[in-house]
Amino acid sequence: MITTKDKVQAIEQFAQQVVDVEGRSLWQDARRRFFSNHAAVISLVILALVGAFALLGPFFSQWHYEDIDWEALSDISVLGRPNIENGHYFGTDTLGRDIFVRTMQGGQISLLVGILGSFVAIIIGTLYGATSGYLGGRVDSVMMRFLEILNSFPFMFFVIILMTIFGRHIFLIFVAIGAISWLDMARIVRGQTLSLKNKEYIEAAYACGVSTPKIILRHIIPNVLGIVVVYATLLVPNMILLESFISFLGLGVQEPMTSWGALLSEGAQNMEIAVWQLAWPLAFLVVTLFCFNFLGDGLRDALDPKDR
Amino acid sequence: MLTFISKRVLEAIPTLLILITVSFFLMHYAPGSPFSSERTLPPEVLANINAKYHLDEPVINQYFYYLGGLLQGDLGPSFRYKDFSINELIAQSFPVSAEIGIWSFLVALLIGVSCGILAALRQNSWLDYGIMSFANLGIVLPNFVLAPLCILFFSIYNQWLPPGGWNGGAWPYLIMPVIAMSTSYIAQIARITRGSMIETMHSNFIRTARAKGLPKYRIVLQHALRPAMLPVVSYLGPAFVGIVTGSVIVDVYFGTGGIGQHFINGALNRDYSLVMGVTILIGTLTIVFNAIVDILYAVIDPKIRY
Amino acid sequence: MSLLSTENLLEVENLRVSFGTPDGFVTAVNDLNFTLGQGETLGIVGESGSGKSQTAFALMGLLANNGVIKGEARFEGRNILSLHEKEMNRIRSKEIAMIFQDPMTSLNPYMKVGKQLMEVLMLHKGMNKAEAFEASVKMLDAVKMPEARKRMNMYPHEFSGGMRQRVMIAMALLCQPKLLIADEPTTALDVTVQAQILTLLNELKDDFNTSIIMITHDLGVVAGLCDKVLVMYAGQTMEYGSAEDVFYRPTHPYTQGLLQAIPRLDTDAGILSTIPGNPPNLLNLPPGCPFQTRCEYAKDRCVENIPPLEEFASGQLRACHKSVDGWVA
Repeated sequence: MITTKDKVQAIEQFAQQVVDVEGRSLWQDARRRFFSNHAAVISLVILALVGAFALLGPFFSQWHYEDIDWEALSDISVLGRPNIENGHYFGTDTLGRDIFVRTMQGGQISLLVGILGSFVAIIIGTLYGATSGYLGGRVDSVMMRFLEILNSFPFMFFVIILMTIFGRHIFLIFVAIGAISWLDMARIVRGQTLSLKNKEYIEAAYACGVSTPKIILRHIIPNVLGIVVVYATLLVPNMILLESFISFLGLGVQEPMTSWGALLSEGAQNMEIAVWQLAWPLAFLVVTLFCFNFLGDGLRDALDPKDR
Repeated sequence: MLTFISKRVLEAIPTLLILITVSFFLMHYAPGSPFSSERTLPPEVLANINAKYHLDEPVINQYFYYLGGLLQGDLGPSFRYKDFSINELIAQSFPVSAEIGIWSFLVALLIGVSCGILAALRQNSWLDYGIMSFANLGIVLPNFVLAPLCILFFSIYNQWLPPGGWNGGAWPYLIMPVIAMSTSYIAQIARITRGSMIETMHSNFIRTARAKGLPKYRIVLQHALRPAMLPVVSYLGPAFVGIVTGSVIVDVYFGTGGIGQHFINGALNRDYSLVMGVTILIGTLTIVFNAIVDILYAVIDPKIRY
Repeated sequence: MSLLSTENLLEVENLRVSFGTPDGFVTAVNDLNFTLGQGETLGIVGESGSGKSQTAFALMGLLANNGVIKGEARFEGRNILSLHEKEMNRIRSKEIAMIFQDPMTSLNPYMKVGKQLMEVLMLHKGMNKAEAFEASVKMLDAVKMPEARKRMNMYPHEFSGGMRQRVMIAMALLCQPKLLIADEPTTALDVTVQAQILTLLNELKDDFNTSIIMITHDLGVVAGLCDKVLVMYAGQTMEYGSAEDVFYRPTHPYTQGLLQAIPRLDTDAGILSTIPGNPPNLLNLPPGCPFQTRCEYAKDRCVENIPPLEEFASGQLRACHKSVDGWVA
């Protein structure tokens, strides 16, 4: 068979169509199942609200996250209490800064870290997993062996070391967290790729001389997207937790910026006299994590309807 | 079986070597690292290090000296605690961490597996919903949140338990660290067990067992438990890493004086040799534990050939 | 409704099995009636989805949780459908045993074959380990398992498909049950192995005087083994009679269609005859006779009302509006 360029293109288009048709019915089905899952839908709504709150909330407060209320500072345990009148809806921290605004600012950082970190993990993990699975053979076993080695590393400790050596920078947190979390993603994508590899349209694309990187990017990756999306929603809360963990240890974001983990850390130190400092960020963190977990479960059940 | 184990152990060696090498060079080229002599160190420490690491020699030689020391089980001197070697610091704190860790691990496994099985056998009942709600809550309440909450409840609002300290491992000092460490793993293990138990109970060989007329408890214990445990066994590796990492929080929070405390202090004080020592110890433990999990998996699943 | 003069071991009356699904209530087995005498073999034939396996699961009490049973099944005079789990457990395997369709997944892959056999004997016969071991080896020998003693200590994945089905058969026969339900015991196996298994079942039937319900979609299996045949379609009985009558004088268009669809080497018809169309969706059955949409003889009355199951000759029942020799007005 002579493969001319237009033939290759035609086949690719055809293969794309096959994918589209399969994809659409799957996605439609999944959407129906997802919207009939009340817990997941409610979680999605709450998450949207939390996100909107974190982004827009600061405009509705008379305080800025760096501002210090000198008046409240004189007696935090009394004047720093949550109070509608002086604008400290959630109270103040020990430095007299407004918890309401700081919770929202911390929320921005936590959500950002969660989403960007997952993004890094998804990109590295998907590319690595798809390549390993598609190439197979010796390349695959070497790549998987490498994963196993990385898996035995106590990564949390490395992140902490990195933080101490290179200083606390928010960008570094993204990279560090993302780099730890791509391992599972790579494994999952590889497994999916192995089963996709023998599908007719992939073989057809191969038989028509479509190049390997193109097959991986245009045919394999679009088809593993479903599972990637599900895993990503489950990854985001883990990312937020990791960031909180690092911030909690005092190695995360730099003052005066904050994150939920950093707020928790401060709140925990003062919980005997000012429990609101712990309660508000904790409530937001827990609700967000809860919703992400329900959302992820809902998506997984919708895309992979097994009786669990 | 023996060959499988020895093969698994041999495989662990390169991983360990990479771990040590990466840690070493990371430390060595870190800005402000004591190795680069940019820092002003107490003269007696400097002398000590010079003697130990041959700092006047090329980096590669220093690396091999460090490796040589490791082979003899010597992790070197601390840059911070002048009178202690890393070995002494670890020997002092490791038993504390091990005790908390082992208890947390056992509690997580025992409660998690039993809750998971109960939920699976009463699928979609109130018991199931109750256990799973608890599990979902446990997953989103990480140890660094639970630790202060525990103190707030057990020590501040009610004076039931001491808020921190170790006291040689007396049980009142053990309860809160174990709760804080194990809760999220109880939750995870319960979820995994429930899922795999439900799947197993729907498999054909369980139908065969029912057709034999076996009572339900025997079907569960003798036929379903073993296959349902396989995903839990795979989770033990990550759970171990999580519990080890969580020990940092517990140490920071409850002041138990475990290995995590040294690690954090080391990191904050730039006591690189201490941080490196702890990292290598924990890396080794993780690698060894993963090997044990693999072997355990092979023991449970007869389809895996040794 | 007794067909043969032997005393009946099992009498199934108006058995109905339904399942609650998110899309509605599905009736998998619809008013099934049959009887089975001591030492008799009944073949239940039908395409996949005709409700034959669900009949077997209902009799064993192994339906999925969303299954609902109506009707009666009297085993030695006792209605086994209303028994509690505990009472049923005393009957399972001891009085009624079952061989499953898929030998590859029906044995526990995590347990040695010997133990899986022995536990049946220890449970129902109260044997100790040593006795159970010897009895199991004996039974493996009986199903012609080579090197039976050695294989007791092996795991199922070390066996071939045919060997696993032998283990399943041995397991089912351990307590010498009065009734053996075999649900497509040969479907998953190679043709040569199929023949061996069928021969084995035939011999065992004679040796132990066991009654057998043989569930299959393969008419060849029925012809070689069964005394009586029940043809099912969409959960309903189409034709029921002695194997000889059903095979040599089939009167229902569906049975005729099934028989014509068997590939034969001794005729020179070039084309393999098939029944056009697919089995109906149980959620949405056509009006009237369920087979009407695929039946070449279908008339208006087939759409209007369901043909009743009637005895049209001695011991032969069928549900069809068409008369035995053609249409009568």
